[in-house]
Amino acid sequence: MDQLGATVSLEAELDGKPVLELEAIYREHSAVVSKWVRRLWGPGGASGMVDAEDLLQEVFLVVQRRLGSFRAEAALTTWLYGITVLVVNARRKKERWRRFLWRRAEPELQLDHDAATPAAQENFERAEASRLVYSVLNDLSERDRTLLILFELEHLPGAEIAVILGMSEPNVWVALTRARVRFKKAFEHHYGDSDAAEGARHVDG
Amino acid sequence: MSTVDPLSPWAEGTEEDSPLDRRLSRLFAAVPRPTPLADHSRQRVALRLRTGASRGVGLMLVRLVAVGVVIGMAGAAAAQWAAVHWFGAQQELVIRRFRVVAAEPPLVPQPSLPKKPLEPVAVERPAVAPELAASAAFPAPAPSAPSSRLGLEAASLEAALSALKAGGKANASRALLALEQHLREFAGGALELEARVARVDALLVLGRRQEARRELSALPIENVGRKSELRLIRAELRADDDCRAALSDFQVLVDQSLPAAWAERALFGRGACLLKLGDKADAERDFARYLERFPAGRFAPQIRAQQPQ
Repeated sequence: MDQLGATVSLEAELDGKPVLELEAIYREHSAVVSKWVRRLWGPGGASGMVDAEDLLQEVFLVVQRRLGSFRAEAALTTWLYGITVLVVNARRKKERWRRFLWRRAEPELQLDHDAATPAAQENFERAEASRLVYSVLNDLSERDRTLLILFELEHLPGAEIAVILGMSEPNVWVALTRARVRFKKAFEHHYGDSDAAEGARHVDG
Repeated sequence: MSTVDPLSPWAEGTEEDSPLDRRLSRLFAAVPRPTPLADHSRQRVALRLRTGASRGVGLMLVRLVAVGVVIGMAGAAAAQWAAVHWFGAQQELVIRRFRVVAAEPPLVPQPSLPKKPLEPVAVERPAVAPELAASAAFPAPAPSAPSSRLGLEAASLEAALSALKAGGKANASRALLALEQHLREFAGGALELEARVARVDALLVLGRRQEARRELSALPIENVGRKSELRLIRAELRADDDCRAALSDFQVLVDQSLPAAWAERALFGRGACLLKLGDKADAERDFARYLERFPAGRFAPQIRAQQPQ
């Protein structure tokens, strides 16, 4: 994880007390937050009614509201990640309802954020891997999905995940183990051995 | 809750992994890392944060407006349907009557002063050429087909008034014919009063004063929007041979607050009728008042010319 846990110094002085400034936080962290947003939303997330810009704005609106309550007990980036998770999950929930009410099809999965990958074949394989993984993740509960994304894709340490999700670290490992089991079941249910093998072969090259 | 040792990500894989684990390991390892939003996108968001603007709010507003427009259009369509099918007659009555009453032509009939010496003489021949009642307030007949008897009546009246509006005696004749046919066809119709007022206008244009006078005398002018104007015309017409009747109208008018052109005619008409009836003192008082109020009025030269030197 590139910037998670990094020490940040974005403070202004107000009456002798350090005050975080939204603009400085945005300047410093908006790029990485936009990556988290895309990671948490998954491929195809920028299609339809939701796009990364909207989500990024929502995240920083929450940051603006909660800035006064930020305590430096956690790294700023961890705090930001927590907010990003909340915002993305809330939006996913809303979108699920919207799709239910309006019978909208699930947005077609597309790896829009990796269009710049140089080799087309590699790009396709990575896109296929992403499609397979997220199609199964999207069938899990939000908690399992988030845990697996943070650990398996973002490679965050357990302690960091614990802070972000408000759990103890041992609980993170327990929950993660269970989430993996459910993921495997769902994967086999969706694709079976042959499809999974096919998908994996693509990825193997 | 049972305790579990820290795990390592699937993508790292281990020797003990099952075939499915290995497949998943390859899959997770192949999932690409997302790229950040482009600079310009993040600048757009920064701007929205700074200004407090929200694309979501904008979209919501657009949606609300669209829903409002759709509801409004549906409501208007339903109201129109209901107006035609349920309340057609009454609805159109209100609209058409408003249009007719809105026509306020300026007055033209005007009495002339008796010749010297000042004697009680008839207020003579108001050279009547009323400008037409249906000027701007009467557009050409609507192209849409009338949907009820009242619609037909209104269309018929509008056609006649259009001819009257065109001006000239020939058009007034055509208008008069059309109005008389209209009054026969729609006898007792909702717009009868308006048609009769228009007929007076047409008769005055054609110089048929006696008929105009008869029509005006029979009209309940209190119920017409142009009542002051019609009262003045009636008074001036009556002054030809019935100054007592005319005087009561002039009296009402002089006591009212009228446009200057009408007030001038009412004051002069009352003076002329008083003179004709032998009330020379009151007549002279009216003329003096006239000269005071309208020293450059249209009747001032006549009054001055006939006053004793």
